[in-house]
Amino acid sequence: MSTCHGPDPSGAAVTTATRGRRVLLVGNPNVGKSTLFNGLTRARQRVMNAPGTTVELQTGSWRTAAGAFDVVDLPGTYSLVARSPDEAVVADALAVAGPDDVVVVVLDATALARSLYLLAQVARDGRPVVVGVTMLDVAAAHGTPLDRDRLEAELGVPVVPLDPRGTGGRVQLERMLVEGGVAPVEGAARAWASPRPHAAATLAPDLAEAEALFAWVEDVTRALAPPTPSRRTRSDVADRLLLNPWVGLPVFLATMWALFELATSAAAPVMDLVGTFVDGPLAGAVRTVLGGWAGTWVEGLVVDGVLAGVGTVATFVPLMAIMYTALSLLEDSGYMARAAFLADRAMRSIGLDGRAMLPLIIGFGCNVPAIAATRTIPDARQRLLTGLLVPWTSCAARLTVYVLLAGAFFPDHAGTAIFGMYVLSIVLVVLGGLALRRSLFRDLQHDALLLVLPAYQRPRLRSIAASVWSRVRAFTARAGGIIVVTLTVVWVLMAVPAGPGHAVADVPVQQSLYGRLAEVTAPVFAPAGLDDWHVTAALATGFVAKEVVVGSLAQSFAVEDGGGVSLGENLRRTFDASSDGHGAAAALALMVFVLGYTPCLATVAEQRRSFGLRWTVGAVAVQLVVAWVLAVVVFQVGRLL
Amino acid sequence: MHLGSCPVDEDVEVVEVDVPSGTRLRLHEVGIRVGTTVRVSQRAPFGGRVVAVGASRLAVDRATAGRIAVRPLP
Repeated sequence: MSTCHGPDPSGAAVTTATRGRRVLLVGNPNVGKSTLFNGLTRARQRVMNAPGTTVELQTGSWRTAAGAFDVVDLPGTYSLVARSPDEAVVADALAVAGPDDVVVVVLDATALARSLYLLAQVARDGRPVVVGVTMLDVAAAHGTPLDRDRLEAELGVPVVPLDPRGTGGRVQLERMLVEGGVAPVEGAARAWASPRPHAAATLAPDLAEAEALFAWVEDVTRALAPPTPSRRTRSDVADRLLLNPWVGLPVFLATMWALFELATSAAAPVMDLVGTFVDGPLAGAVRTVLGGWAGTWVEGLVVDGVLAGVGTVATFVPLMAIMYTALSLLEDSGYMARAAFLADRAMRSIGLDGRAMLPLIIGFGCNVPAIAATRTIPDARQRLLTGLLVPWTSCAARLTVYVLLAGAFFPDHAGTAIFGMYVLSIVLVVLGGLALRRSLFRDLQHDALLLVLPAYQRPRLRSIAASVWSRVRAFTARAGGIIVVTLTVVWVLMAVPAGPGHAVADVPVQQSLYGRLAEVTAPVFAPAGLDDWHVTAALATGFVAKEVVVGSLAQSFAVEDGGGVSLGENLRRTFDASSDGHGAAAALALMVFVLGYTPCLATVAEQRRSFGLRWTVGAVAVQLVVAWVLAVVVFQVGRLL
Repeated sequence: MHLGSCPVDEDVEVVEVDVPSGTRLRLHEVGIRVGTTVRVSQRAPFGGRVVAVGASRLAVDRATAGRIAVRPLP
């Protein structure tokens, strides 16, 4: 078991999160549980982390004739013998569920044995459950139709046929909850009460328990239908192509490339459009509303501080919506599990889960959706590990800094220098991953790959839309707040003069509190040949977003010389001065620092949302230290050459 | 014969599962147990196998496939 917490925190999470009558949805992964959840709750959902964990839960309100139920969509699991934090959350939530809570176990008609095993675990302590079954149509199409009446007779409780796409099952589910058609599953409790002695004697306790439940599962499935040999399905035919070594790998790489393109080229025009709207018409409207305050520091605070923050969040919204939609499509169609299977070997060699490939590739486009994409990794520890490595994937925004510096200092070898940064980025991810696996993540086992491949299916657009909507809303509310507050603070620091002679909001950067702080911190970069306030000021704005580093440098030089000298020339003069004539080595050190330290505020906010404050602060600190050490090494070695 | 070496699309019976107990439990949970009839439905890159157990499909890596002994059905 690779869990990192006891039963209390996550259990409490689920109990304290909601106060009304609760419905807990339990089932195997890909059983259609989340589609059912989306159907029940529509847009009345929110995404939350089980406190004390990085496991994401969706909760929502289901309005029925008898009042509202709070529905909790627990992570999909095959077993209550948890082997990942996500599975532990399910086990813990059930352990602390109150007497009024209703547990709905969703069975998969195409994998009944697997589903019944989980049902037996849930039901064995005599807890009343509602049993639903999905995929009845798929099972019938496979030539293994499920006899629901027989199943009801075997289980001793009603079995609700659920078509996650339709509403029929929901009505029956509602009636059962209201009229109290909820009872313990007799057979499972009986099976548990009499474990087979020979199993108990020879196997470990978990395995002995499991054997007793399997015996019951076998009895039930045998009573329903004799075991039939499996038949070739349409999914098998598709896999023949998509998992074929010669076709599958190119298709996989093309899919990854498409995701990368979505995070960069496809999202950029929409992001620009939103940015232009906020900076133009919206800022104009706000200025009009401010009326008498126009031209004062109030306008600066509202427009250049708060509104700039809102604009930053707003530009990320279309990107996040696009990425969430793409990821949901991949998951819902069934391809995501295949992609993880194909990437497993490569990622395993650096100690990561196969599914880590996808966030890391998206990271080279933009780190923010890459952090969001880590949620496709089923194990919370693996998810955290990948989320800590994403910031070292060199995003497109950092490229602007590389291009400026490489063009100014290595005009003949700019391409090589930039390529080198991408190689270094991959090296950092690999070495960072290996270092984390040997330190903080030693508990992660090298588990065998054992992946259930869901049948391919047409993506369910309504369900995807509901989930994208709730995720985008969660990003806007939780990551957005941090971004707006921080950008407002940055504006205040830049607006307040550090000494007399300047008015608030009318002060050159160097004379502001911000400039003074940059000057004070500049000596820290002396060992990297970068003891200059222009550089530290630009790096500080780079913490907010790498796109503004070049602009910040240009602006701070322009104020001094009135714009007569090119930025490249200014940089060469400044770096030569700060590095005792080794400007090129200092420039290379700066490029390395830009790659290594915090990618941007939005990434930090998204990390905070996904992994909590402690991990985020730790990650920012480690990145700063690593970036500084690398920059110093590069400069010190570079000036000897 | 094991799952890594047995022919594709032929029904076989699992006779031994030689993996650590945690993995064995998970294999049991997803349906690969001694005595069950399974079928390799696809060979994947890097030695992985897709195993058909009833209507469900399980992807296993090369090492695990090599540790699940099977025999042809009579």
